[in-house]
Amino acid sequence: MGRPRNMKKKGEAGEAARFISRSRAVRKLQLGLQAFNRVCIIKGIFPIEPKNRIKAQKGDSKYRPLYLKKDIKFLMHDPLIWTIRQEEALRKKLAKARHLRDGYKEQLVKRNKPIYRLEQNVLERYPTFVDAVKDLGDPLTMIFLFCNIEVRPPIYEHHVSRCQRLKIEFLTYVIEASCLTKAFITTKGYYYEVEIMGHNIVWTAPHNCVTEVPPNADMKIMRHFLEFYIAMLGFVNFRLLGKVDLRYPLKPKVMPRLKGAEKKDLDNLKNLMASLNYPLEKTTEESEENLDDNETTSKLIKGSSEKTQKVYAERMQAEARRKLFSGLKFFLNPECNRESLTLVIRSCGGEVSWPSTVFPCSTYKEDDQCITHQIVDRPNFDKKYLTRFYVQPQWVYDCLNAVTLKPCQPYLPGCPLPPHICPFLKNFEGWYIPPEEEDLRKLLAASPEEKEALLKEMAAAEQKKLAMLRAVNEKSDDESGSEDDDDEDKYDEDENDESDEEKDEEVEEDGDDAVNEADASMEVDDGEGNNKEEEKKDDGKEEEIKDVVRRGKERFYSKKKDESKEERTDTRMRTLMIHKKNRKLYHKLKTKETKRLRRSSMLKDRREALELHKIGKISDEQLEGPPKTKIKQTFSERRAKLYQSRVRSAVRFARSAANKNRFRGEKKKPAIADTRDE
Amino acid sequence: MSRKRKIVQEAPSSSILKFDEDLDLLGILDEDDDEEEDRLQQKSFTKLGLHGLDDGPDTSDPYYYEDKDNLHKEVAFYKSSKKQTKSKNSTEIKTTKKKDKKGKSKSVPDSVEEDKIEDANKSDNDKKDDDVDDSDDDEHASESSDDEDIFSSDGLDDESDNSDEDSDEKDSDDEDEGYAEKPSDDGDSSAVAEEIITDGVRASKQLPDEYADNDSSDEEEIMNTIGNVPTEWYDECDHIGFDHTGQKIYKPDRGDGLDAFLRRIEDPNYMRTVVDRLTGQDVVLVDDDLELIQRLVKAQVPSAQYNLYEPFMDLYSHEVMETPLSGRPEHKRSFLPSRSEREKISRMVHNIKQNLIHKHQRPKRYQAYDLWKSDHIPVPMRRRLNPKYKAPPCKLPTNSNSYNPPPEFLPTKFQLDWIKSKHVRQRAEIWARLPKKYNSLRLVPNHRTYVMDVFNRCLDLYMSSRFAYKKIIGTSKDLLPDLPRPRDLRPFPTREALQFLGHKSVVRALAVHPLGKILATGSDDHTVKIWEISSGRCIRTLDVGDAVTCLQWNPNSRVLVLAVCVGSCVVMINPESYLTEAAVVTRTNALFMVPPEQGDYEVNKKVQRAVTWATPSSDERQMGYRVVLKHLCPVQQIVWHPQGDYFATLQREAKSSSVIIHQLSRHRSQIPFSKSAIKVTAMSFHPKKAYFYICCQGRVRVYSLLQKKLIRLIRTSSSSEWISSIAVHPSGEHFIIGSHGKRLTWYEMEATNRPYTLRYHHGAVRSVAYHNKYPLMASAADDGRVIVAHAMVYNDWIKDPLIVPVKELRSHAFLDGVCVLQLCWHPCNPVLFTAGADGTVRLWQ
Repeated sequence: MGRPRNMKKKGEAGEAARFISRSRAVRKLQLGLQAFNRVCIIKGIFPIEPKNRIKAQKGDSKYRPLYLKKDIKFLMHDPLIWTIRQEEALRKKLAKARHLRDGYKEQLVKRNKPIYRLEQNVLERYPTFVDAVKDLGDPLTMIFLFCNIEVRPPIYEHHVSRCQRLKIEFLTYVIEASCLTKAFITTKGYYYEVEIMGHNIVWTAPHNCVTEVPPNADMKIMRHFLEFYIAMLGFVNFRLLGKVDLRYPLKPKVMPRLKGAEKKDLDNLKNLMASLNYPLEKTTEESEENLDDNETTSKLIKGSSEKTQKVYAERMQAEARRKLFSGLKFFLNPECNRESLTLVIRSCGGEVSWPSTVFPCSTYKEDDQCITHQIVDRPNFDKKYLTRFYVQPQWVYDCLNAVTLKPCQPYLPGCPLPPHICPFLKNFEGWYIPPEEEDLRKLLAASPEEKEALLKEMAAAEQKKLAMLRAVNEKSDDESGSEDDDDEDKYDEDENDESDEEKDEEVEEDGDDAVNEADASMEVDDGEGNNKEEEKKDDGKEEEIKDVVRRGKERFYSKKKDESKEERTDTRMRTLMIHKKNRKLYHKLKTKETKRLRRSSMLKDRREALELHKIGKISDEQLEGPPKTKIKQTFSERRAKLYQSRVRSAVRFARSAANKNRFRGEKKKPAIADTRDE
Repeated sequence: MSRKRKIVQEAPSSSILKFDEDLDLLGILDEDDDEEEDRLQQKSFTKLGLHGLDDGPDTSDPYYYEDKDNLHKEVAFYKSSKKQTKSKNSTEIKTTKKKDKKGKSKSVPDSVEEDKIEDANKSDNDKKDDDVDDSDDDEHASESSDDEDIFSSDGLDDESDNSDEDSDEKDSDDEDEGYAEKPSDDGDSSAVAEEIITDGVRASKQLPDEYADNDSSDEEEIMNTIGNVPTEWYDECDHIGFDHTGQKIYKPDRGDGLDAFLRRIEDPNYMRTVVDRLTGQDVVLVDDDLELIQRLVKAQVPSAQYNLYEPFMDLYSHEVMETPLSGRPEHKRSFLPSRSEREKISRMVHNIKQNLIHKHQRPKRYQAYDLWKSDHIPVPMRRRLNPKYKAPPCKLPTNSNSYNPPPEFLPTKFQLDWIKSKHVRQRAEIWARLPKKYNSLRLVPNHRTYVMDVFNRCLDLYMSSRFAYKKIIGTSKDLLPDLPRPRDLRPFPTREALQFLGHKSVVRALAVHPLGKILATGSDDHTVKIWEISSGRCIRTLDVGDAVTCLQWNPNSRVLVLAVCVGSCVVMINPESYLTEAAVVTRTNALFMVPPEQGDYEVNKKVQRAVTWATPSSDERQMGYRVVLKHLCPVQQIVWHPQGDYFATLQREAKSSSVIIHQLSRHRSQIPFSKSAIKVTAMSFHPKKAYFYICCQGRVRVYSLLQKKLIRLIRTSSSSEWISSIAVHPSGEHFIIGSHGKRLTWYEMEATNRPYTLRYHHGAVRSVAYHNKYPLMASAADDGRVIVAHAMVYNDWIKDPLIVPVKELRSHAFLDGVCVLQLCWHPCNPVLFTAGADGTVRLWQ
């Protein structure tokens, strides 16, 4: 007896053979879990979701991280594992030497600590340079974070200094290639987008120096990532800087004349580079590349298909972006974020300077008459010079995002700023787009000739609004409350519309067509005819005659077929046939979409209300009060409420029971006391 | 050696030993030392040479506090410390400074008894020593105090030497040192020392030669033999002890206070007079002694003559002695080069030649160079990451994340209040992610969760399982299957056209006559109703006397026979009415006029027991009954063979005879399946072939009635184990089963192992039916919905059937969680009939 020959043993083939659980992998590699994590981080190995988890786990349905067996086999022969094991052994030796106070041995061990270089891993994960460039977002975020972080054991000084260097190199490339496309200031930090070799890379930089690392964040793991990213970005920077003909490592074009004390100070040289404002040494002399560009663009116009035109428009925009601030001279006040602003301004072709006390390498002083814009981030600032614009820093970012020089009027220091709009435009269905973003979209879509007209239009609209506001403010005493009713009416109307729609939903499709198309529909038609007669007769006698025929539910059939409604039914039918696997995901997405729709409508209403409030048509109470439409409870909330009520009732019950007991207890107590007395 | 010593008898009651005498004598006379001390001396005697002065006193030692050493000890201490290295000296000196300060603070200014002061000093000193020398080796800590004792007693003599020594007499000094190292060398001295110990006088064995040198008059004059007992014991006595002859030594008369006062005024030596408690005599300190004390106070080396920086002579020197210690000739191998060394050297030479030896150089941690060489050509590597498992990009910010968002994104006051009402932890979380507005860029602080977000991203990258989607799903619509639009698949019933009202209870059975004009319904109210479909009029109502579970029209349109399951009977009814053709009615009646002759056909006993063909009574015949088949158990289902002669009945409760096939024309029955264990839930005939489908728990069996064998056994999935109904497609190649597990399962006869499951019902499926002519299918379930699906079957057997749900129908009311119980298609029109638990029958078109 036994297993039939053709039957396979469990776990020998298929999903089960493809995957390996983490604990098994750790055992197989003879590493600790931490070391395993480290290897995984550096080698870019991650768990993979199997198609059938139960099969892959050999019958176990609990979630366990599963790795591809192939990956783990590959790791077994990796030199990195050997270095990690070596490190482990050295750590033990070091501990022993320390314990014995054997200084010499300690030094020896420390000296022998293996240093591994990660270039092979970088190559392995990014076989082409483009692959590496595509995946640059995470490394940049990490490196920008670690530039300004407190140095505490898992993170050492050399990490931070390296990060700073890599950051400066990369920013220098961005400025040199002027490939910065978007910059957005969020509450979280600065978001930048650059376009390198046709790929858009987004990364984040924190606002200030990070002084507090939350205890939950495991810095060891962050360090493993950081080590790989440092290695990777070093190579990427080398190649990127090579592309803009810059020497690597960066070196100033003309060594500045430094005085005795400064000469020795290496920081000074570093700061020169960090200023992002100093001419650097190039590998080759400048060549005129612009000519080539023009040729290609002209070619593009010739083939005027939609796609090429789009590409052409994009190119033109990139060109415009490159020359956005050309010819403008900026002066940054000390309270501004120097690095970020320098990056934006210089990559758009502007010139920057700052007070020499702030940072080295200020190219001109504040009293330079050529300065066109001075960036001020203080409300009360004495404007000394009439020849220049004083603007707030947001102006620079907004200009970059809109690829136009926006009017400086709304950005004057001390003015309430216009909203800072996200340049990462999203095109979801039902996504709320505020009017400011619509303007931005228009500006981005417009050709350079149209832009001016558009800007004028916008300014005019703005002024109109202001004028209206003023007028309203003047008359605010006279008119009060009369408009409110209208608004309410309006809301009511909306509600009515909605309810109508609901009704429409209920109305079933008109079946006439179906009947006509049917082969033998005549009889049924006749029957219907009879029906009507029957009904008329039966109206009075319904109670007496039991066997009655009644027409189906009375409904309104609109001859007009609402296409959207039909589509809705179509989709409803299609949802029935969604594959089992996708059903959950579908409902998830669906709820997300409906939520998004609801939110966008809410935002829209809110905006309208705000506008009305400005004019004075809505009172403060209405504006800040609860929303008109009841917030629909989510399932979890409902469940929680139910649970609470149950708990409450249970508690009540328990209390009542306890009361009863107490009552009983009181009765009993004296009895016990009596017996004792006896 | 000249030693000055005076013993002054100031007063008869007190004997004062003056300090100009040898200090070692003082030591000898010291009463304070008891036997223990002595023992300790002996014990630590040998240790002295080994440890020297390294060890500080240990407070843990029980003798430490008992020990009441005085100045002598200190002096001795310094004497012996002289022998230590310079650094040691300096540390000791520091400690003395501290001692002195303390001592001064504690000392009574006018006190005569300087030794008391010194006592106090000593105790302080010990404490201080303890503090300072804490860091010394632990091993000897316990013995440290003992050692010190020894030094004190030993050093006492040395000190005395030094203090009194002239500069000429360095020899003795040298000797002292020598003795310090090797105390037991001198046999003579040891003998003397023994003598001293027997005398009960504290003395050192180390420096016995001094005693030899000493004039013996001291010992003769005063010799107190009380030994190491505290002198306080004699406080109340007249004497202070006994001499060696056993005579009491009386206390010298120290006079009263006046005497003391007078002495103080008159005696020029008063300030340098000290009482020796052992002898009770006053001792006047000599200049040298004073100098010594002063030097000690100043923390200097006690002897002015002592050279701290003497040239150090090493015991072992590098100079080769002219004559070797042994005259042994050297071995041969000492002249020959070592072989192993030669090998080592040759290896090194080889390595050097091969350029294999480098200076130890750490590789650079970071070094950048052109790693890729080109932009797009991949570097050949062993492993490639699968691009489909690429990590998703980070979420991009939106307007609400802006530091200065449009006003509508900011929370209203109402929302803020709502947040404030939340629990603290929740509130903090919400607060961190809330849109905020800053009036100026300079005011934006660091984000609270920035580092945590980056960290979470890291975790996502290496910990979370990745799944490769074949297509990118942006919206929910991407997940919808690609199906033809329902409106293109017409005709199908879309709306409720008619309701047939009249039944008072649940309608369980429903059947449309093959010609499509009459509808029969059976209900729990014991009636069967015949309806005219076109008008919806009820033609006849038959009271059958029991609940109707099933009814079916004979598929042969030439006869009008309705088979009705009433309790355990199956009744063949001819529902004559004005609507039916007279010819058909007469033909039908003729069929049942005379029961067929059975001839020599012998009825199987089992069958005989299970079924009896009976002729109805006259009343029943009046009602339309033609034949009554009486069964043992209630009959649940009846199925006609498409030709109309055979029909099968199902009694679930009857075990072995649950399925019985009857022949109407011959009034014969047979029980084809003898298996008793199977529980049949539904059955059906094949529309074209002589196949018979039986649904049991978790199985569908297909029998060939001609071959009388099982031709296909189909196991259903566990979720559709309990089959409620089965419908066979008119083509005969497909069939569908509906189960209580909310599923419909579509089987193809040729590929029954790969069924297609439809999961669109949310309740137990009650009934399924195919349309005879149209590619339509309908199913009713306990969720109250009837779903009509377009079910196109292609002749091409490779092509899968196309199933598109086209319409959801619902209007029946629920009764005890049951809604639609039976459905049935019109034989030729796309019209659907449903019978519901609400007692209505509805027509959908």
